[in-house]
Amino acid sequence: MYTAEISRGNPTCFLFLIDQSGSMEDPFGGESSGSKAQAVADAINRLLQNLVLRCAKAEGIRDYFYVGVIGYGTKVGPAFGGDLAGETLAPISTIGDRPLMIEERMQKVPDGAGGVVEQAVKFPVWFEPVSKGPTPMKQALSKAENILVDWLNDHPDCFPPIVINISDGEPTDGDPSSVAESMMQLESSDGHVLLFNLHLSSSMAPPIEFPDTNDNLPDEFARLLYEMSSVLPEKIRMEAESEGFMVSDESRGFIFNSDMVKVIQFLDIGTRATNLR
Amino acid sequence: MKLISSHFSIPKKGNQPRENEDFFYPHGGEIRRDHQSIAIADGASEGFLSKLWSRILTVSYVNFNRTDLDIHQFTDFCIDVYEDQREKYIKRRRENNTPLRWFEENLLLKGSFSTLLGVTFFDETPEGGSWLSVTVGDSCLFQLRDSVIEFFPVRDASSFGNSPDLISSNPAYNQELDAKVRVKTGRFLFGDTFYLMTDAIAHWFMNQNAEGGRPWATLDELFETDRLKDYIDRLRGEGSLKNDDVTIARVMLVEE
Repeated sequence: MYTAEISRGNPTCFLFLIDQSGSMEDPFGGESSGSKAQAVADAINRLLQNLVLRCAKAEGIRDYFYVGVIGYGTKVGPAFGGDLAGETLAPISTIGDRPLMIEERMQKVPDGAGGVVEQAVKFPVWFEPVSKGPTPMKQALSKAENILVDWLNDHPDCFPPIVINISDGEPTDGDPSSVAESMMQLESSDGHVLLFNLHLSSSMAPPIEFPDTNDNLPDEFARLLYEMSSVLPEKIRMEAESEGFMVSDESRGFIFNSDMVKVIQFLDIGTRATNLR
Repeated sequence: MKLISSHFSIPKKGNQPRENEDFFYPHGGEIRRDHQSIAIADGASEGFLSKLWSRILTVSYVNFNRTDLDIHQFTDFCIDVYEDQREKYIKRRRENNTPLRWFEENLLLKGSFSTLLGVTFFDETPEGGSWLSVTVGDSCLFQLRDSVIEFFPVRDASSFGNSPDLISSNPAYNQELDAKVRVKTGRFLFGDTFYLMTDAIAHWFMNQNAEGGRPWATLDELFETDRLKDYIDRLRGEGSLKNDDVTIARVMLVEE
């Protein structure tokens, strides 16, 4: 299971659920400063950028992935703006071609002599911070489930879709666990849908990556999101291990106040350059 | 010494031939020299202009044709060639009114990545001579004399993975190159055959050999009858060959 080839002929699907509720206005407790809404925008923009980069070649972007982003706050629905407005699932090539804007940011890169230097890189922006309204996480998961039912009908043998929920874990429309559970029961011939949660909290507690217990989680919101996160499939777990993450058979796709981008690197779409790590 | 080489290369199923990022050099034929180099490279999927980089590495290795190859000197030379070609590519894109897009610019900053396996044969005695192979990554060499008498650098099929050692076109990512280079020398007799392969087919070859098969005999026959493509398709269909670019080079060393 979780071994299906990801290719243009057999693409898989990424569905991001982003919390755009009023509580996201509060300060983020992680490494960067600013609000949780800013942290969500940075996280989704970085995730999308990395998905594009994994598929980009000189001749264009290969459609290994179809990607949707559901926002939840004042309303629940497709959250892309600009040319992508209203798109439920778009091929990654279309997403790569149509960011709202492209900023330049400084990034630390190796200087070849054991140190690091700052280098200007393009930083495409699809999402700007939004923080308004309640937190209808349950509705968002329901919407995601419907989208995935259609996707799996059309792609019964794909690598199982991956849903990444980015939130502070404070739903206002009831306990989302049962909807999450039902969504995780959906499956392709290669395995069940994977639900990963990126918890961006105001808590100053240290970051946690792929835990195998909820014992050390800082609050009830973290525990809620942990409980509704998939156990990492063996192949992804092994990739995580080779990247230096401390993981076990029970590790879950849950990240607290840190970075989810690595998950994209764990997927096998060809030879990877270890030099870049 | 006469070196007779032939090679076969096919992209990953579902990809176009121009998307094949493997490269072998020189392209077939017979070469008569006292010593002669050949090389194979597997450009990484993660990276930009990987095919250009694998081509530059192999062609440069063959043209360097040095018995005392210094990997840093060699890599610096290849990077100079690459940077020149890359600038021409960017200029061409600008002139064609298709300037680089944001993701291409970001990938270009990282550079290109590839394995490399080169081997040089030296004609030394009436019976044969010696060979020297230099490699980074998991492209493989097999020496045949009735059976496989040498595997290099991978000796065990379970060692193949998705993250082989690679040479980068970006000097910043070659810091640990010394630790990644493997060098091996050996002897050959005229009549020996050498196979050079990229990882997917090398993996299959090692599995077959470990199970007591004679994969070289299969490949010999397929080379002679020009049926390699059908065979690769079949292996991929059965699931016994990973869907990846496949390049196989066969080199026979013959006394003149």
